[in-house]
Amino acid sequence: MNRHLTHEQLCDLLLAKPTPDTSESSGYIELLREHLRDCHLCSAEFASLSHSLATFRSTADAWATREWTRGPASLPPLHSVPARTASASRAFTSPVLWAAAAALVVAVTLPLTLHRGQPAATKTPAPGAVATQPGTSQSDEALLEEIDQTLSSPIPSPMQPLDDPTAGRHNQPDTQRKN
Amino acid sequence: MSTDAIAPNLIPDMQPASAATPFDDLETIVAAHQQRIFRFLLASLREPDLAHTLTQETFLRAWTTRSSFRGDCSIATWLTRIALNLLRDHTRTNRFRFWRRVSASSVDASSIALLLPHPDSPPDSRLIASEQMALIWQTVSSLSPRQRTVFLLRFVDEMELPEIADTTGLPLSTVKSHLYRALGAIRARHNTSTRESL
Repeated sequence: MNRHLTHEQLCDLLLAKPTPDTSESSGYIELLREHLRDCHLCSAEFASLSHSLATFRSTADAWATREWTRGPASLPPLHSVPARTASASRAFTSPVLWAAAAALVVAVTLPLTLHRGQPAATKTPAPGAVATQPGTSQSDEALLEEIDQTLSSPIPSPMQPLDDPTAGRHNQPDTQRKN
Repeated sequence: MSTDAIAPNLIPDMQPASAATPFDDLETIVAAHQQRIFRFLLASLREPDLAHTLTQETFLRAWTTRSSFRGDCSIATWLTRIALNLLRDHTRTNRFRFWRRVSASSVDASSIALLLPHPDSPPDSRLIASEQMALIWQTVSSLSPRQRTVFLLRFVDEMELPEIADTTGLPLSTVKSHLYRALGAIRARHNTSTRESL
C-alpha cells in the first residue's frame, strides 16, 4: 500500500477494536495498521484524530459526572406523579404556563359576564313571545287575508290592466291611441 | 444525584408484573445503567435538566413496559433504545421549546471543553486542546440527529457497530456510512484547527 489512507480506511481504523480479533476484517485492519507503521503522515493524522476522539469522550464523561452529582434543578419525585411523565409535571410548575392559563380564563369569562349584563330589550326574543304581542298578531292576520284574496282572484295580478292615472280626465278614442 | 436516586421513588407505587423479568430488580438495573444513559442523553441534548428528566423517563418506561422485554438483546441495549425513542419524541415536539425555556439552559460548547483533563500540560497547549475540543462539540451538534446519535453511541458510549445497529434499528452498512460522514465532518474541522494552531 503505497498511497495514503483514504477517508474510509482511516475511519475503519478508528472504528476497529484496539485489540486484534478473529473476524474476517482483521486481515484488512492489519494491512491498514501496517501502512500506519510505514507512513508518518497517515500515522500522525490517525494519532491526532484518535487522541481528539478519546479526549472528546473524556470531556463527555467528566461533564456527565459533574452534572449527575449536581442533580436536576427542579425535578419532582417520580412517586408523586406515577401516571404522568415527569416532564409534563414540570410544565405545570412553569409560571409562564400559569400566566397563560389565567389569561385564557379571563378571555373566556369576561365576554360571558358582559353578555349577561346587557338589558333584556336587546336580547333575541323567544318564539313564544312574538305571539303574545297584540299589534303583531293583527298585522299577521291582515297579511294572511291579503294573501288569500290574491290567490282566490280569477285574474292573476300581473295580468290585470294597469290603473290609468288619467282616467276620467281625457276621453280619447282607442283608434287615436293606436296611431 | 446519588446512584439510587431514581429507584426508591419508582418502586413503591408500582406492583411487580406477573411474569418475572430482569426489571423486577429495578434498583440494581438503575444503579448499573443510569449514569451511562444520562451521559448519552446529556451529550445528545446538552441540557442537563432535560437529560435528568429523560433519564428518569427512560427507567419509568422500562418499568412500565418490562413485560415486553424478551431478552433478545442486552438490558443496556434495551434501555438505550428507550432513551433514544424519548430523545426522538423530544425532537419531534421541539416546537414546545418556548414553554420549557430550554434554550436558556443549553450548555455552550466552549464551557464543555473547559472540562478537558489537563494532566501536567502547559497552559498554551491546554488552550489549543480546549479550542479543538470546543470545535468538535460544535461539529457534533451540527451533525444530523441520526449521525449524531450514531457518533455518540460509538465514541461516547463505546458501543460496537452491531450493537448500534441493534439499538437504532438501522442496517449495519447505514450505521457505518453515518459514522464515515460524521467523522468526515469532524476530521475536516479538526484538520483546519490543527493547521491554524501551527
